[in-house]
Formats: sequence, C-alpha cells, structure tokens
Amino acid sequence: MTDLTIEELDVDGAIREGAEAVQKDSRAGFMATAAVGAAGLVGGGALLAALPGVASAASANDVAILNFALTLEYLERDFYNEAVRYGGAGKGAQRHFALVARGHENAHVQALKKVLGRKAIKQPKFNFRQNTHNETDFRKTAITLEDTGVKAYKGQAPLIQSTQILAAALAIHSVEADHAAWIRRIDHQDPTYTGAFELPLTRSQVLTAVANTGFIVG
Amino acid sequence: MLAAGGAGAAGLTLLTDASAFAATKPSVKTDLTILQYALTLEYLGATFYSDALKYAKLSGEAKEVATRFHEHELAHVAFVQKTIRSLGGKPHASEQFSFGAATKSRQAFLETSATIEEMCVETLNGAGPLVSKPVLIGASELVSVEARQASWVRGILGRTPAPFKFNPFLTAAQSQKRLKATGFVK
Repeated sequence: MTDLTIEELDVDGAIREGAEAVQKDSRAGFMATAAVGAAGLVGGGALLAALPGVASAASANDVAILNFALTLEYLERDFYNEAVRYGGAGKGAQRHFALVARGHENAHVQALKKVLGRKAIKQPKFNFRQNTHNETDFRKTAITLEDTGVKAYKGQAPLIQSTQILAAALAIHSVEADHAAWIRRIDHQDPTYTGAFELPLTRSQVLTAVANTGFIVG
Repeated sequence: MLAAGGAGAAGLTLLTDASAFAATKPSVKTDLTILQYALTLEYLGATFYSDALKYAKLSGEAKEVATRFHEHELAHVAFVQKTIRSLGGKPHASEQFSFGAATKSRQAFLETSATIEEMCVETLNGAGPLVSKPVLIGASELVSVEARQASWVRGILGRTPAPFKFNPFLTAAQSQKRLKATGFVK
C-alpha cells in the first residue's frame, strides 16, 4: 500500500512556497491569470470551463492544489461508482444518493482535468475492500470521505492564488457539504455535527486521513 | 439597498460586475462592506428561526432544525460582529424583519429555511474571491455549515439535498435583489 505523500503532489515545492506566500499579498498574481472575461456568475463549473488558457496561466501553486483536489475527486467518484456496481450503495434513498454523488464527483473530475490539461495528475489505483460491497460500510465510508472532502477544500481555499479557481473551489466545497449532510441524514447521523463552525484540515492532515483508509494502493 | 447604517452601500457597486471578480483587489473597505451585508443575512436567519420556534408550532425534526439552526445563526452573528470590529468597523444593529406566513406553519417554515440557507451559501460563495484571506478563512468556516443546513432541510422536504454539481454564486447586487424580493426586511 502506498502513502500518497505531500511530496508526491508538491513536485517543485510550490505548495509549501504557496503557503508562505499567503502571508504576503499573493493576490497580485491573480491579475496575471488573464483571459478572465465575464464568465457569467452561474456556477464554478462554468467558470472553470469557460476560461481559455487558464491551465497554462495557473501558477505552480494552484496546479498543485488542483491536483490535490483531483486526487480526492477521483477517489470519491470511483468509490461511488464501485458501490453502485457491487451493491454497497444498496437500494432506495441510499442508492439514489450514491448515483447523484457519483455524477457530481465525475463532473468535478472532468472540470479539474480540463483546467489542468497536461498537468493533471494521473488517477491512482484504488482498493475499497468491503466498503463498496456492504451497505453499512458504504454509509460510514461515504460520511468520512464527504466530511473530509469539505474540510480539505476549506483548508486549500485561502491558499489558491487565482480568484477564478478559488470561485470554483468554493462552489465545489459547498456541494461536498451538501453531500455530507445528505448521507449523514440517511445514516441517522447529525448533518450539522460540527455545530456553528466547521474547521479546515491541512493538506497534510487530509493526506494522512486518506492514507489511513488504505484505499490508494498504487 | 438596505437601510442599515454604515453598510458602505457605495462600495457595493464594485461587486455587481461579473468581471469585477478578477479586477477587484481585496481591501479592508471591501471586507467591511461584505461583512456588514453578511451580518444582515445572519440577523435574518437568527430572527427567522426564533420566530418559527414561537409561531410555527413545530415538532419533531422540523423543531430540531429550527432549534439547532437558531443556535448556529446566533453564533454566526457574534462571529461576524467580532470580525467587523477586528477590522476597525462597527457592526450595524439588526434590521427589523417580518416573516408573515413563512414562520406560521411547518411547510412554509421548511421551504423558507431552504430558500434562506441557499441564499446565504450562494452569497458567501460569491463574496469569497473578493475578500482578504483572513476574512475568507472565517467565511469558509460558516458556509459549509449553511450548506449542510440547506441540505438537511431539503431532505426533510423530500427534495434532492444536493441539487447542483457546482453551487451557483451571487454577486452582492444579485443577493440584495433576492433578499429584497423576499419582503422580509422591513
């Protein structure tokens, strides 16, 4: 089993540089991410899709963050896809959740890949074990993945240099929160279990949590 | 425009243009403008849930969400007020609200809750790229809670809890227009 470490995603140290740059006003960089146009404030996906050249214009910092997000989206999409195939998604309301979430995560994967172009990280190999076969394990795992995904996007948002990419990240962040509350309620858990405030996780914390699942095997 | 004093209404014209997304540099002035408006939405939410608990004769899960969300919105009010002060601003006093039928029955309560929560999420998502990093960090701690609340209520209503692949966002002008259209602000 391979740990996906921060080093693997942070090829040129851009993530750690980016984190330090936050202390200064790194926003000056966003003016250079040109080709903005009035992309029409419909939704983050449209924003990502409508920006020609944003892949080449995105900073190394933002590319690393997008690839981190893409890794999580690959994971979620494949988890839901397998669960539907192998029965962990179950029937009725639970299956409906899995189908809808799968569609959303796939849309996130496609949007992120489109922005990243050649710089998109390749999909890892996953092994979800019984969690895509067993209905109870499916629910528990979905809750963990969605809750973690929310906190992952939350942690990355302030580190993103491009305002367009930030807008898209915020759009996805709140969708993951929609998912998290949804599957929690299906499992008779508290949808707003964090109370009035939900705190971020750092990239390192998320990668540790993901490594602990053992789902990424190659 | 909202009547609440000191909300810096003039600065809001910066936020109405879609292309302003890329062109606007964060500033304390923009932060305060946005925070004062966010405060209005939190006052709205807190008062809405308080009124619903008084008038809608809620029970079961509907009562649970009203109770929980009321607590959350009160905490959000305090948080936004504190943030405004930390930037050297003065939080405006709460507007007066009137919810009419929206707080008088279970169904109306749930539907209005979904509407208000969605409006908050979409407004905060629109504001995120415009504010300074510390304010963004704070706002992002609230917005996922609002989204969870919206999802929960939609679930109770039998609607899809996650209607979008990417949640839409509103400019300040769009949000204010939507707020005005509710008729809740006296």
